[in-house]
Amino acid sequence: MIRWYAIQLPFWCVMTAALELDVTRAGQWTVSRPLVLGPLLGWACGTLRHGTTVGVLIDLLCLDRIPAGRALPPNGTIAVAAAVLLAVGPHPVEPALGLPAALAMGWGFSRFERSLRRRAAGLTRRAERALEAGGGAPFGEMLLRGLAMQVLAAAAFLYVGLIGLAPALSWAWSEAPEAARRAAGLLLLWTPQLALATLLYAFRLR
Amino acid sequence: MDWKTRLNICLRSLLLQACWNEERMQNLGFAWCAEPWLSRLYKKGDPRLTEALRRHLEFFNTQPHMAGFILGTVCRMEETRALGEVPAERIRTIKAAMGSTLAAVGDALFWGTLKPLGAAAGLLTLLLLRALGAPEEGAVAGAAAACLGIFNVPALAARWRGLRLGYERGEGVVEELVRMDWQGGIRRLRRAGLALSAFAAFLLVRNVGAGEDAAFFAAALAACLGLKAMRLTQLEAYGALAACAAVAVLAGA
Repeated sequence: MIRWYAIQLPFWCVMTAALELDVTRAGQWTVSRPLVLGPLLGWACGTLRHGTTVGVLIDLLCLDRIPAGRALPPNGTIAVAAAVLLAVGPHPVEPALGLPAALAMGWGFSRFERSLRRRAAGLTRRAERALEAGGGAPFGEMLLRGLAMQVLAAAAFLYVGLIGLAPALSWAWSEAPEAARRAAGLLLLWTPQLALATLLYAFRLR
Repeated sequence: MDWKTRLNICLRSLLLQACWNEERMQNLGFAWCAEPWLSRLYKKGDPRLTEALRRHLEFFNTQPHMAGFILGTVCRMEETRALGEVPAERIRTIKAAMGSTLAAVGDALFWGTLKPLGAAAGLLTLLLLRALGAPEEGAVAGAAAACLGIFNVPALAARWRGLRLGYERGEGVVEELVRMDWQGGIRRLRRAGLALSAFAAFLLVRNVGAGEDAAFFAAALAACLGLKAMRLTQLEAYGALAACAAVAVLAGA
């Protein structure tokens, strides 16, 4: 357990946070999309099939919102990493509970990211002051600070979220009444249909 | 603009949103992208260099993969300005106009069409490779390759060629962009996406099995499509699904 929480989990959180930069900040190659990251993380953690399943589901569910301008859709990268990491480790969470919890984390991170964006405005002002002072244009330095801030914040969010959620959800599942578990199971059973409907709807003829 | 400078600017454009902020959005990234070119036009310490960099720290936002067109155009206009032939206000106007127009086109093309098309192609590749008996790793790798290829080939082409076209034509690139049939291309891609998604849905229904199971899957899919058609947000639709699951359990399912 110590090895998981002290070494493995922080490692995966930092890796995910680095890849999360691809969502908006760096590259936008879509390597961070759940359909790619889910299987990759699943394969690395020994749960390829689960990683692929949650990767496909979360990718399709997140097609709904476009990251245009100020819009902050739920973060699929954080969600899929949470979904995979909740299923492994010393307190594995049932997918029926893990998937909604992971989606909630993705949504939560998008709210958190708004405050990160506000902080980034400070970097622009620093760059301007440096320019006015005649000290050259430290744009590259400010950009790197912005990226570092994003990676640290995303890794911390994911790590703190998972160390809190994993034992809590694992316990909650074991204590939940049978009806609640059946309802969660039904929700998981129907989630592929919602995901597929989202994909089909994305191509509706306008 | 030589090949190396163009590559430098193109690579920098990958970090256009590295410092995205609510106040001025992509301003810092844009200034950083334009910096190599501006440093060639003006010597270090030249007040015109500071003025140009300050100009590009103003508000700016566009779809990141379309930024190449604007960067190229701005570089050409700044070059002309260095000769005293273009007022600064003209650069601002063209940059802002192109930014918002290409944002609308780029959002519809990349986020609204190519991203879901990549998902459809990835899903279909996964299902087909599994049906053909490929090992899971191979099926997943194929799906990821299809998904990434469909998005990134046009995205990289837009960045690279956009930069070249914007620089070669300057302000004239606007007429070139207007002549391109963006909406027609998007419509064709969306029809292809619909076909791929429908085929993937067919395979999934078939995988469920025959009879009642397949009928129930198809009925649930139709119900979810109904939820989407009601314009519910994803959170609302998921909540509605959770509520249905709870009601089903209470009803004895």
